Amino acid sequence: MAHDHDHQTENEGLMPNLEHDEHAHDDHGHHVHVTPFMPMLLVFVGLLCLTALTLWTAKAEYFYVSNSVNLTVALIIASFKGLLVAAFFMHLIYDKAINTVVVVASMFAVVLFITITMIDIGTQDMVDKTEKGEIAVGGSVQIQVDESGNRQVTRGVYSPFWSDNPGLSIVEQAKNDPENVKKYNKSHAHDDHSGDDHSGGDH
Amino acid sequence: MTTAPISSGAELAAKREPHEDYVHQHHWRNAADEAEAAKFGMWLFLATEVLLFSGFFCAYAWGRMTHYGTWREASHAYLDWKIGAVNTVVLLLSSFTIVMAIRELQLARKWRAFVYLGITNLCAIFFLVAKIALEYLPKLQDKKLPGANFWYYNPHGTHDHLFMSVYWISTATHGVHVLIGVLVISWAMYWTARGRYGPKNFMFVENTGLYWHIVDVIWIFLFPMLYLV
Amino acid sequence: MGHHDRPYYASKETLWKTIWSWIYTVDHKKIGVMYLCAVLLMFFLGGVFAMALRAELWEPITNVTKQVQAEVQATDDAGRLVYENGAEVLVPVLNDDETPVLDADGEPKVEPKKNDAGQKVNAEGEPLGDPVMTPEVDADGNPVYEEVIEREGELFKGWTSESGTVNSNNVYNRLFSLHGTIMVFLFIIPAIPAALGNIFLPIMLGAKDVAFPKLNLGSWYIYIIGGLFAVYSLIAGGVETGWTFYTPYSTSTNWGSVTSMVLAAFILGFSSIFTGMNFIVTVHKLRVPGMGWFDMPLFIWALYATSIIQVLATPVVGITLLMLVFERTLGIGIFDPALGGDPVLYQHFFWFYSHPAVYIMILPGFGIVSELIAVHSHKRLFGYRAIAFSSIGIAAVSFLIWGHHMFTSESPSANVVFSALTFLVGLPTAIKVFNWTSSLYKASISWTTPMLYAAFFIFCFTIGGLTGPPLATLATDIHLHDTYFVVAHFHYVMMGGTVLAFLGGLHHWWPKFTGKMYNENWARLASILVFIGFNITFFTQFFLGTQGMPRRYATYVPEFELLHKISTFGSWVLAIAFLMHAVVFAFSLAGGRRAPRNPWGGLTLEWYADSPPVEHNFSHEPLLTHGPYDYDLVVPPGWDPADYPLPDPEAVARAHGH
Repeated sequence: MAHDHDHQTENEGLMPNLEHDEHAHDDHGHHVHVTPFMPMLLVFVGLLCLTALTLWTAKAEYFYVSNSVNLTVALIIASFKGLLVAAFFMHLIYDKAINTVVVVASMFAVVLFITITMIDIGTQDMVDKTEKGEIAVGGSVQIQVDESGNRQVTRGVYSPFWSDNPGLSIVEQAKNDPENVKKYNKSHAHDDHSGDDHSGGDH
Repeated sequence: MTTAPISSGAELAAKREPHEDYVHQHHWRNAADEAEAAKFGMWLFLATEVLLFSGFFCAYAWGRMTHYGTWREASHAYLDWKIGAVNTVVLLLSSFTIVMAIRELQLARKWRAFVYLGITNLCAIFFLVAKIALEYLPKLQDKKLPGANFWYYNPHGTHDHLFMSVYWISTATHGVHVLIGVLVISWAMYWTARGRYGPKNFMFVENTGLYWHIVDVIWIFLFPMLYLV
Repeated sequence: MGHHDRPYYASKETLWKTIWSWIYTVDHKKIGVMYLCAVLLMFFLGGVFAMALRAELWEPITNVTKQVQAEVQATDDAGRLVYENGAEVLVPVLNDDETPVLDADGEPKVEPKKNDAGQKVNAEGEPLGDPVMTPEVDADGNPVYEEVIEREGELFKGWTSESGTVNSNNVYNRLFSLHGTIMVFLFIIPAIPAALGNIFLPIMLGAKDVAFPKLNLGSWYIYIIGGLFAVYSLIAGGVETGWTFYTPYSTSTNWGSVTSMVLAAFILGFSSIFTGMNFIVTVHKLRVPGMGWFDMPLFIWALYATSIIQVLATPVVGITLLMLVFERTLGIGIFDPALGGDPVLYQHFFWFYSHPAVYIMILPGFGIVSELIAVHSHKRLFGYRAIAFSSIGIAAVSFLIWGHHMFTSESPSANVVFSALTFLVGLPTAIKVFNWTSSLYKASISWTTPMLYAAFFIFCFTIGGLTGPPLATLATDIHLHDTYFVVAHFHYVMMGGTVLAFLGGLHHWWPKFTGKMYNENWARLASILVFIGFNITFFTQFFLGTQGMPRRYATYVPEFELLHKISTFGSWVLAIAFLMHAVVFAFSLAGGRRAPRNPWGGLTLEWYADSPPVEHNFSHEPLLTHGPYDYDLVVPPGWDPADYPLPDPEAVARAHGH
């Protein structure tokens, strides 16, 4: 092994003795892009118009479609405003692309964070009713079997997020469901009996 | 100040603005690299700011999803959209003026830049004063406070306190950012007046502007979410 | 300039100037060394907690029912109680007018004679002392037995605080919480990037410093402030929430000092963010002329990927912990189910950061191992680009899989998605392991301490990695969730991975940044002991976990006693091995041989710098003329070509069949 060959001062082959003057470097490559006046003013006016548009769509009676739609519209306008600010006021369109990459990456992380979390929150109480009418964890499909043994498969979505009756708990919604009123009563009637043979029908 | 004519080179040098003799830090190869790196670093910082606020947006989305009914009612019942709208316009104006301040610095017109920065700062202070005087103090008096401290005598829905939690923590965090912005812009004003910033060296003001814009952008999103829909 | 020929840590004229030169330094090497000291201190502190909790688990806490003969206080013939210094003296109770007090039967009341201090005294006025006990007998003269329940196996008992008596379980809860919090937030996250990365990232890029030296110093001071908050929390009673601070326990518990610990983690996050920002900009803007992206050493690639995660994930934990503080102080209720909030939302917030944080911990370790294997086996690394891209791939995938920490709390549909995505992360990690092992094929390996650590890393990390799929699979995870299997899995990855890589890197670069060699034989012995002790400690825990031993319990059923004893024994071996390392380093600093410029034969730029480097790293800006692992083309700097025969190009061509 050559551990003892210590050439602290030799071996400059890879480090040519450059004249390393800190001030001698070329500063002329630093072209300043002077912010133009007129585009910025236009962007500012555009932002004011978009603010007015947000107010109008949110407050005018005839624009009210539903709460979710209006929120979406407001957020789309806000995104457009944010885009204007980022592109012009924050010079993204004049700068190197790497800054845009940073913005896109952060937006990607934000969207990921919120959407995946909301997917979980929105499906927390999305449960499946099995053929016996019990509520069990797993899946999102509801299967009904009628008297003649035909299977009817429907989407069993009992999440406040998707429901027509916002604000109700899952149990309340399930109880309100006309399909279930019968079933709830039936299962209570079965309390007196021993087994869970709901399928038998005749006791 | 004497008004004697300039007679020597040393005196001429003394009359130069500091920004004209700007030298980049020693570990950079040239000033362009330094400026680009400063801006790139600032953008990375802004990415962290966006992600910081994404927590509030996520909490808002959660509330909207799980307390769907009360969430929109609370917004209309407790917040005055007119104050929010005025503050939005004020912040947009301040964003525009700080862009103009940078333009003036690039053109070496420091007093114009100073005035633009001053307008920006006045807007920021207006925003804060309006926020505190017209929104926070009346809400404090009515005990429209976050979470467990919500004791408003005439609550609108069952989960109003959670809406007020999201409102308070997101706008207060935003307000703290505005306050930091006021301090940084004041610093920029001071050194602009002293002539530190000019065409060769405006990166501090530029980065201040970037920070200020992101504060603006976050408000652009908070305003419709909290006040309008 | 004078500083171009003196080591970066050379002392100044006076002691105060020397100290000031460290306090106020913007030199990345000094900041890195200060970080190194701090993280090693925190490693010691976390290690002490780990030893204590393993000691508590040496035997289970059990309630033992014993039959003991009952005792009563002895009496003399007159029925008076007997004490050490004789029997008590009964005196009549007197009214104010000196007449005796009569009881219900009309007899005079008597009471034991007492002195002014209220102690019972004998006839001579001396205190009576302790009572004399005698076995109790029943009416027939048979001894009477009573059942006594004793708690055995309690190591920490009888501590009291303002909140009441602290029993062994509380102490144990604090021990594992402090172990976790300190090891995660104060040791393992800053260990490699902020300490070794800070020292070597600019040198390996051929730069004079990081992009923002003042921010670098600021990050160090923020770390110190965060550390002070953590130490305050420790003194003020600690936390017993676990390092995850899950709500609603963390928002409702009054034990200890949760708020300050949460604030500590919040502050430490900023330190991490600033280091990450600095590294990203440095890599982009300060590479030496001639160094393209694919001429960077793989350690830099790994640090770059780490920094991306630090910048994009850490702010979310910042806001999470801030909201937790608001929750505790203002009761905002978003995470509090009593107010309509959702604790599962907290888990999403927390794991959005903390799962990527797992890769903040391990990715720099990957980078170090790539360096170690290339340098100490003197061979071109196999699959450079694959390893580089897999680092970035891991960083990207890390943001998609946080939900696998929440399989028992999130919705079934989200579970399925996260389970599937979790398997993705196996691809880039496997690419790395295969490339490392391929690189070792037909290499001339020097079994130095760093190389030993690289080999141990591959062994342990593979075990840790392959025990991941059972935890990513929904069906098996429900069984293994919150058992010792999980504990063993993440210790195999975090300790068997990151800590071993950290130690390997520390030995690898020790000669460079201290300028001293360490004793290779003792260090080898210590490293082998670390490996043995680590495996004894944690391999047993896989068995414990599969048999159902839950994590975070201070006690267990007797069936687990043998495995727990083996595990605790392993922790002692580990402690001895770490102390040996500390002694080896101390001897090296005190009287180690002067390190040559390039003791191992590395080709990356830090081996062109002096040992230790001068203040701005290089006396002249280096010019890159070869890749980082061109061992078949270049004789390493400082080595004699006679000792380092390069392959004959013609022979190589023949071997390849040309």
